[in-house]
Amino acid sequence: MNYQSFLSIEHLRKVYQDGKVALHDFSWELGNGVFGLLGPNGAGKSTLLEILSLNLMPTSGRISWKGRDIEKYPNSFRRILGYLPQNYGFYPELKAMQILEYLGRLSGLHGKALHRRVDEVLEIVKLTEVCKRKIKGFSGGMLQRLAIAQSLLHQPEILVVDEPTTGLDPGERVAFRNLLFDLGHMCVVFLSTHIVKDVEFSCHLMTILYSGMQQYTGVPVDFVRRVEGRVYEIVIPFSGLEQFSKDHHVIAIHEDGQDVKVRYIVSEVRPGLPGSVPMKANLEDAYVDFIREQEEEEEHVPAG
Amino acid sequence: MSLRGEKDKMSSILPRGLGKKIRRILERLLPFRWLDVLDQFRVQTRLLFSRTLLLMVAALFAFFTWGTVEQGTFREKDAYGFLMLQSIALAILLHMNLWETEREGRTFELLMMRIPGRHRMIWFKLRVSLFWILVLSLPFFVGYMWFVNIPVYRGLVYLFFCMSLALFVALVTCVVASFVHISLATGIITTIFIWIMAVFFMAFRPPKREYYEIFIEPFIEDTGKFKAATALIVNRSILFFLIAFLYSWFYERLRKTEKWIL
Repeated sequence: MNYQSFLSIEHLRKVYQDGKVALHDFSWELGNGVFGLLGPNGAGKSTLLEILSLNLMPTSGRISWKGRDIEKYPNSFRRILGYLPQNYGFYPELKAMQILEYLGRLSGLHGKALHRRVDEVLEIVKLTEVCKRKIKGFSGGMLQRLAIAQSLLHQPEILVVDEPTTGLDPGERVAFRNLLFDLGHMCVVFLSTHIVKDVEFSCHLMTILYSGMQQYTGVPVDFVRRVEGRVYEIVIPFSGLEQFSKDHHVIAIHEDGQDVKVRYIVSEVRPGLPGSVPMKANLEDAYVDFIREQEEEEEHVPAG
Repeated sequence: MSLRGEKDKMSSILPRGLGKKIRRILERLLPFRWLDVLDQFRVQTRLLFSRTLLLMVAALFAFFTWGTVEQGTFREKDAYGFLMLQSIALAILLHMNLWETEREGRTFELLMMRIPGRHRMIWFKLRVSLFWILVLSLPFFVGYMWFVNIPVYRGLVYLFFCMSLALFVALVTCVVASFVHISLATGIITTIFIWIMAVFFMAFRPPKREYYEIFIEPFIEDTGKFKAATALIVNRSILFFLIAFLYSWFYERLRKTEKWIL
């Protein structure tokens, strides 16, 4: 995909005070669209996002927005940045509308413009009907939508969202992905998640972090190619599942009457086991295979 | 009529939509800047006064009222001691949970995104708590001025001395809170720290202490006249220097936001 780069991240490194290296050398160029950051828990995703949102300082490296270093111009960057943190919270005693007005005022909106914008974002996230209810009565999905509403209040040019679909039911997750996709036409959406389907269905480009290191950057479809022709499905008796799991890279297991249907990956392009059906590979297959490779590599690194 | 019906009837004493009407009038009359401050003030006040804290403040009021009556506090010196003590207690109570509400409520990042600069962030939180220390202290001051016959100008001097001490205690509480992260522990540690300071001055009576004792009384007990102007000026200057030091320390703590967020 061709896009004009707005956000430039160059050789970002973060070492915490206890000596833990959370981010090694992260670089990426981003323009309008949805950009996915994938990685297991503890990979350094939240650290990267906290740095992007100016809540943490990097140890070294540079982030620039349209050529301007955000560390030198933090306030102007904050004005165009919408951030949805992973562990956000709201004041439970306030109503949805009150909290949006409160945060809107803090974002520099006033008077009729404030009320109009609050109504707009409530409409975008479909919370208009419950906007006069106290937040403590909100479900997880409603809270998540309210969180995205607050991040959109000041019409950001870059939206940073950290694990936004965790805890949402399938319907809400799909709606949320669609919302992000729509927003990607208007601004840079930086989506961090460990839910592969979120990236598969909404992102134009993705990058994978593992142990603080950037392992892959590119189009999701290209990443899927690494396992094409290697994904199979087979039906085996339940009693043989344990042994099968030890011998093969199992991706998913579904019950199929007395038996189980197992989706697995073979290590190189070759026919699967007798009775196996070749399957169309997806991003989850490629990602699980990739993470397992990384883990195996880590295990083989001699200690010390 | 059902209980629910009665409740509805009772709640209808206030005209419906009164809040909205008042807000509209205020929006028409006040500039945006004032409205912003009022809105932020309202929300922050709601955060500051949890039910527990309200009970603690009420207990504090009851304790000092009882103490005054029981002790028969008729002398200015005793009254000043009480006023100082309640200012310290209010400063600790209102600040021990001030930052923890945002950290625990996970709203800290949302605020940091919107309030550019740490000075503004500190001012944003402290202006509400300090305002309430002043407001809640005033009944005590007015009460004692009436009860012990303290002239207004002397009352104002006491107020200045007590409030500057309260500001010092408030910042000590904030710094402790930035390390401890548990409000009750913050309150206890700060209380012990201030208590040790008070005991040190009372027990050892170090020389020239009128220059640096932060709990100093501004008037000479026997004559009722001001203590030496130089001593008082140096004393308050040292206190304000300590306040500035605590502020910059807290500012630095806030800069290391990873400690607060992660």
